[in-house]
Amino acid sequence: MAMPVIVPPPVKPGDTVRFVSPASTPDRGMVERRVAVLEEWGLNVQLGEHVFAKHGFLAGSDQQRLADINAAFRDPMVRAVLATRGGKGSYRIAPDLDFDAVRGDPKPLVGFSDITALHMCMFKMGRIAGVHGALFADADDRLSLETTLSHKNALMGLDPLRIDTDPDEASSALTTAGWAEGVLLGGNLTMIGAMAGWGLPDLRGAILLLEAVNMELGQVDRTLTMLTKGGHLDGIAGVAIGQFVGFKPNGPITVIDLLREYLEPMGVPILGGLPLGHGGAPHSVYLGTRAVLDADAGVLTSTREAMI
Amino acid sequence: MADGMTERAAPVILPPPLRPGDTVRFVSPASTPDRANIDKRAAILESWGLKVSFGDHVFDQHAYMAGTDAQRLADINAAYRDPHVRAIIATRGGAGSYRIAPYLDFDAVRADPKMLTGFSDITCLHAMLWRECRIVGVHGKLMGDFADRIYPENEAAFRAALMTDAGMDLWAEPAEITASLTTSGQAEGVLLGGHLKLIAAMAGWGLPSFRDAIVLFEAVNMSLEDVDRTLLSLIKGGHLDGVRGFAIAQFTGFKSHGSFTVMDLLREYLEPLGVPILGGLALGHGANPRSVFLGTRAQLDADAGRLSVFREAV
Repeated sequence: MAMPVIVPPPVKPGDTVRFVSPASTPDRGMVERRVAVLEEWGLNVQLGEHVFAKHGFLAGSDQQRLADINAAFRDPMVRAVLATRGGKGSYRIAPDLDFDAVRGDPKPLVGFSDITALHMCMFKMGRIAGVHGALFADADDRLSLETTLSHKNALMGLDPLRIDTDPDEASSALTTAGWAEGVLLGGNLTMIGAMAGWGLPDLRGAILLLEAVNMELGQVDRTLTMLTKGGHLDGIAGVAIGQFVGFKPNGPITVIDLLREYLEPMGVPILGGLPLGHGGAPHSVYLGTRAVLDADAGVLTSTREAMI
Repeated sequence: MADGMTERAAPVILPPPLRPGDTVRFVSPASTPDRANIDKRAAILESWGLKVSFGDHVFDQHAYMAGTDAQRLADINAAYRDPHVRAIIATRGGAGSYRIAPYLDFDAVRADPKMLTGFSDITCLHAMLWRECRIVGVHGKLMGDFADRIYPENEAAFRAALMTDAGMDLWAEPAEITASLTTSGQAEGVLLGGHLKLIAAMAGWGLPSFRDAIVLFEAVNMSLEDVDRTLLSLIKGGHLDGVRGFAIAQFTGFKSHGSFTVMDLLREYLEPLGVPILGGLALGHGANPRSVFLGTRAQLDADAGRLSVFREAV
């Protein structure tokens, strides 16, 4: 039925990449430091016209942000499109991306958090794989070696990305047992909730990636109720749980309890504790390609292979 | 699901007004209320000649909810099944009624109709009850201010909704921030809706069709981006297709982002739908909110600044 999935090729030294801001406005110093890292890898780095624009909580009007990302997709010189940050607002332009341009000249979109909205539409409407991740630093903007290496491998490498569960991550308590294989899809839970019913791809057979930051427990509760009752998670093959950051328990209930309550009854393997998201030293993974989740071994393997 | 057909086929259930001597039951389908707060409300209901009873778990506490799902569900279903209970009063909203909404005893609701009153998180129960039973409910409560002073208009409106056979006229109040959203024109249809956040949480599984309805929105303490995502997702998902008019009530506790406010977002998403919008309605979490029926015929007149809600089925 569906178009074949397109997996954009890795970026090579000498290639040009472009930063765009489809969501909120980034800090200029932060972006300059990221540019320097990418240049060290031998890449030429460009910035979209409105990267630092400001319009309410957005980096420019919808037209400006959309123009920037579509210009990057359409420019044959640009070999990867990197989101400067998430924040909010990419969902507003997600359905209007130039999917045909990317299918005609495949290049990865790179980002996470609010950018999940774009990844979901890229896969649903364009059948194009992307990269969930960023050069995401700590509060003092120190980049970890793990984050930097993983991001470089996801952008420039051909080998599968291996993500080991971290027992220090709160979500590691969710790990069950078993093994699953499927297309890795998902990302930020808030955004998955916001895209359900119109922008979320069919998740049947997929390994669902979930990470979240600063949600209230009630919001997690409502989102998981809506996703499960609405049938949006029907038929998933497994769940890969990344970092859940900035959550406060409410009495005896934690966000981990809520996740367990909704996800365990689905009866598929769950692997928690994955360093993916807004926590310490997050890694990068491919979205839209074949992944293998081994809950027994505590490893998620993300490949560059298309499944369909 | 062929809910469009079944919804249209089923007749609307409009429970009769309460009479003095009738028994009402407080239940807590969402979060735990303050005991003194409820004692005060029970005294007001008794002053109207009603007998007040309480669910077993009204004051239970289980994280952010008034008891486990099983306990909260047992309380509300017991109220529906008890022939002495003539109306069910939610003590408060909060969080958690969406967890039990699909498990209400809809057969009991149909067999012995009685109104549920409440709003905010209780929007989930109103939505599911209309979707499954086409039963009318009351969006409202005895709502105090910061010092829990209950104003005469709030009390009179709640009493009228419960105990008279009259409908209600609401006039837009210029002091409400949503008054600036009012456009022009008239619309008529069944009044449905409630708290924007909970409408989104029910979308795709627990929300009735809003086609030909007048949709009520109120909200409290949402972030602007949450409103942005919610309205986008409701519209893109087709959940607001065919709405005849919007009744915009209190939006409370919102922070602006620079000069950008929640009003800008509401205007951006709702105006292109091209139906009359009436803002400034005193319903919700703001000052002195009134009560309205959900599920009955309503007329929205944006030019006159009036929402009329009738005690009759569409």
